[in-house]
Amino acid sequence: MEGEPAAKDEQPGPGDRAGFETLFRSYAPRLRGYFLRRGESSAHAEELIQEVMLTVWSKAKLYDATRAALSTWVFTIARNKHIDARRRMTRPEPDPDDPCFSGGSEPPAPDESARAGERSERLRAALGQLGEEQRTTLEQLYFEGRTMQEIAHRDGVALGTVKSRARRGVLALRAVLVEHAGEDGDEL
Amino acid sequence: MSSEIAPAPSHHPAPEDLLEYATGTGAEWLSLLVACHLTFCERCRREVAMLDEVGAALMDAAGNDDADDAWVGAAADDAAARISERTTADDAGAAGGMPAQLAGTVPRPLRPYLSEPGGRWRFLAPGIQHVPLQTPDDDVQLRLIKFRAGFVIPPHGHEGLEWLLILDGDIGDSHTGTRYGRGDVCCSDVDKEHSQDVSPSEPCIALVANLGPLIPKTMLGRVLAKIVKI
Repeated sequence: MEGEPAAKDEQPGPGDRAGFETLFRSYAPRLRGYFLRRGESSAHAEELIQEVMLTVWSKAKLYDATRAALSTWVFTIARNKHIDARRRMTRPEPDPDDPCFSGGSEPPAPDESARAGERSERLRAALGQLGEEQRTTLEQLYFEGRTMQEIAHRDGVALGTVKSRARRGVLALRAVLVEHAGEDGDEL
Repeated sequence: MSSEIAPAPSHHPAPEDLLEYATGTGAEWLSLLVACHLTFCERCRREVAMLDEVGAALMDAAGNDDADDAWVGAAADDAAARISERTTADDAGAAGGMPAQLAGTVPRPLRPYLSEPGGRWRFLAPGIQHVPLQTPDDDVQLRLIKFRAGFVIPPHGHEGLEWLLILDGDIGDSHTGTRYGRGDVCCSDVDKEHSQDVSPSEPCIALVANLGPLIPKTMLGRVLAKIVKI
């Protein structure tokens, strides 16, 4: 979200075409990078970007700025669109309206939301400090969509090594979030 | 059934399973099992939310592909023009009936996998009923299994991984010496011999994924395996 307004000012809303264009311009390049790295052709990537942005827009009312940074929400939509398109399936996700759904729907601590933008800022900084192996493992998982098995094969290392690199990478990133979340962060 | 405030699950998917779910690299059956577990488990939902944040940060950090401004402008216009036609059409989806006898027990992510809308329990072996589920992953057998109260699964091993997600009741595992209740994941590795026993007070319903055949260790087990063909 470089050079963008803070998360709470980004709340998208239908019926605001100028707002949509701003949002589109802000996210399209990142999404394009994401889909290209996931192995999509340029044409298909563009189609997917449109799908993602239309979904973002039409579901704007479901976006809860107190729960996640806008970029996190956009990322999950992009990932799901990609899975749906590639596998011709709908990605299985828990549904808070499910009678089986238990536990809270995790409202974050009051001031945590205000810090959503700050959190992603910190995460990005921490990413830059990850060890090379940990970072490339995460990038292959998140971007190239390789399974851990495939990464092990490609990098010529044991599956256990890939798992531990990924795990240590995630732990290091999580530590950065928890460290700053104070007493509310113990759950992470 | 046991839907009064159930205790939160205490046996979770492995961290790498959650990561594969969050990155969308996991096999479909695994994503499905994880999504069902997440339905019961706030702790893992938080974990996945954190992993999503990591994904977004990576997406941001990977930054801008050679942003062709002319394209972005045209695409934004194009998309904006499609907004109005889209907004209404998108909301339909969710319907799809859950058989009355399964609602409240079976998490919603499973719905699309019930082969027939009725999803009736069928006889599998004495004391065991099942509802087969569809999965596009060829090497996995996925089903709902209901064991009668007090049922004991005789000692057996596995040629492949077995995943159990308990949906109702509970089951004990001899290998881990643990009891698994609603929302818990019980993962049996290859070659780990174990027997399992259902609590005598109520039946146990579980979502079961088998990645390979079961290897019975006793005569009774062999007979059972033959009938059940797992």
